[in-house]
Amino acid sequence: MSRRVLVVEDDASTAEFLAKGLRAEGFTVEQAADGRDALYMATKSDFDAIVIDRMLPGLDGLSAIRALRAAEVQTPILILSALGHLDERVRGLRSGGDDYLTKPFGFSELHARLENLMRRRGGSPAETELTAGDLSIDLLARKARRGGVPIDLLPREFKLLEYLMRNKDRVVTRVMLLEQVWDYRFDPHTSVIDTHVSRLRRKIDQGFEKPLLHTVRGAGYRLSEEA
Amino acid sequence: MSGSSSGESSGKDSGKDSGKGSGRAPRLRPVAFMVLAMTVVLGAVVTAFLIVDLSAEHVFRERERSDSLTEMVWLKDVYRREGLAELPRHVERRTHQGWKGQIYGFFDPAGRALAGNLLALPQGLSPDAWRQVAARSAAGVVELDAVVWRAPGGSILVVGHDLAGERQVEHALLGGFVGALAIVAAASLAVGFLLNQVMDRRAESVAGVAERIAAGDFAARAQVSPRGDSFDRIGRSLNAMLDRIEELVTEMRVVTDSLSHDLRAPLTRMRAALERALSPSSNEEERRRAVEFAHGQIEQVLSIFSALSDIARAEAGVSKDMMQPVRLDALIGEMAELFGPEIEDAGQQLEAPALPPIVVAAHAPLLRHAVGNLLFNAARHAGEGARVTMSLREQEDFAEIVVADSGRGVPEGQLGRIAQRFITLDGARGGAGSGLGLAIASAAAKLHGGELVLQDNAPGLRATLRLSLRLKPA
Repeated sequence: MSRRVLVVEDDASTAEFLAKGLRAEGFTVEQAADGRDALYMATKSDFDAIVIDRMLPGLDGLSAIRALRAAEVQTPILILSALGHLDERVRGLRSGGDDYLTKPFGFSELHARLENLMRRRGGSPAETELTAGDLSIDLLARKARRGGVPIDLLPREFKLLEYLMRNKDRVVTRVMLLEQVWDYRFDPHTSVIDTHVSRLRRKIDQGFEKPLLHTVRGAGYRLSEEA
Repeated sequence: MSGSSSGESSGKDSGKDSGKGSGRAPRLRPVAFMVLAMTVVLGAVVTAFLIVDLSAEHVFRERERSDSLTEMVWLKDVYRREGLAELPRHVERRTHQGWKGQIYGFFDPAGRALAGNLLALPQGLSPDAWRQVAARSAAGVVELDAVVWRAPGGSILVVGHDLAGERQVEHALLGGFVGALAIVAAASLAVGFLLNQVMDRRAESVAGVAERIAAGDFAARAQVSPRGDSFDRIGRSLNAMLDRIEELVTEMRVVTDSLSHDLRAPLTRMRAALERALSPSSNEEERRRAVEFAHGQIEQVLSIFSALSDIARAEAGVSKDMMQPVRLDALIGEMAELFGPEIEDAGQQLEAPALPPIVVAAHAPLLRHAVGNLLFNAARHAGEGARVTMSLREQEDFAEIVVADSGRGVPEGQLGRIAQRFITLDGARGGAGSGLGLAIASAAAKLHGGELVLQDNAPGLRATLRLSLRLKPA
């Protein structure tokens, strides 16, 4: 069954760009151009995710989100905004959004985040072990093994690996890793993440025939059994 | 307005017109001040005159009256010793002696003059009190201040004095005061005029600077003498303000110039790459690489904008509820952990010894960014083999986060410059070294009521983020 995404964006060309990209990724996309329509559509029908612009005519994005949450619509919401203000992000998340993306953004970033949001919704929170091929991590003991061999990881490396494993087979961007693993929300130093990933890669892939941690050009990283 | 300025096009620039008017008018303004001062001086002089006049009159009259009384007592004594019949003779004698200008009159009960220099009995005299009456005397009509005694049998004795003497004193006093007044008025006019000239000249020097600045001469500064009077104070404040404005204008110019420079390079490369991609002669692989290259250039442009807006946000301040208690030692630990590999890969060594637990009200994301920038800066510029040390301490009202390296350092004279936007010393523009990192750290420190201090670490650079401990969390 195809996953359904509601795109709420008043700028026609941005909306078109988003819808096109999402359809190409296999989503079913519906569009709304203002907060009122979005509210109506989101409450009448069940979506897998909502992408909503912060600034909308009529009912603005944040008010629409608050109204949705008040109506107990739990659909994951990704907020888009041209306002990169430090506090805007917090306000967006406080009003009930699940993630926040500042324009301009790359489509790969948006896609990776959407996948992440939808996974979060479906994921079972009671998991105590994650696996990818012959790599497994024990979330309680905070231990990792590959092919039965224990791998010695620093706490932060474990957190990085855990995040990659939870998003197995999906692309995660450098910005996502910085935000989720280090709580660091600024773009210019995304390259620092590469060093951490390459160290982690050395620990989990070195000496094994099949690499698990892949670099995705122009996007980020993916942990997967397939190349 | 336009009528007065004959040559000028009417009302074209009303500001200019009124400016001209006020250029002439102020010279007259201090006159109001002078008039006020003179009014006060005049008031004081007149009051002084009235007080002196009254007391002089009082003293003078008391003395005259005491003389008259003495005469009266003496004549009564004569009456008692020698009888009424002898009185006219004595009165006549005293009159001829003209003792101290006293005036005598002796009248029979019918009011006829028997002796003395009064020709007729003045009306309105009283035996109990001094009365001032007009009286006819041998020398003409006089203003008489006198007492009267009615002797047994009805004869009347009048002794008094002419008030003309008193009037003379009064006139002399008045004359003196008017003279003094004239001198005071002239002197205060002269002093006021001189003062006005001096003040006008001093004000002119300050106003002149402002006018020159307005006309575009930004180098103009007020002359300040070391005496330190009010005008020197104004001049000093004006100069300090002008220095600050010049600094801001210069910084703005540097930002604009650098921004256009830094944006032109990647945009030009991007255009070239996209032209390559559009060219019909390119094959698929070449196109893909060209687009990928253009994508990388866009990232660079965006990161410059992102950094600039970070600075602008920090400078604009954040809402109070974003300031939360933050454990600085933990935050430093996280950043050391995040940037550690980067520093090690640069062939450097990162040391973050045990740090004291210090909590400040802070904007955590921005503070992380600031600390991250200092570490990133060290990784990039300190050079191979350098030791990067992080420390934290409390210094009076500030928490100090120090990132010190033992690397190449910065020449002493350049320390003040490198925290400015777009300043990179090695000229290595582009990449992540956009010259904005330290500017962000500086803005972040200011947002936290502190500052970024850059010092020579001999060798190396020592960057200290000072954060106020007095900020209250939301």
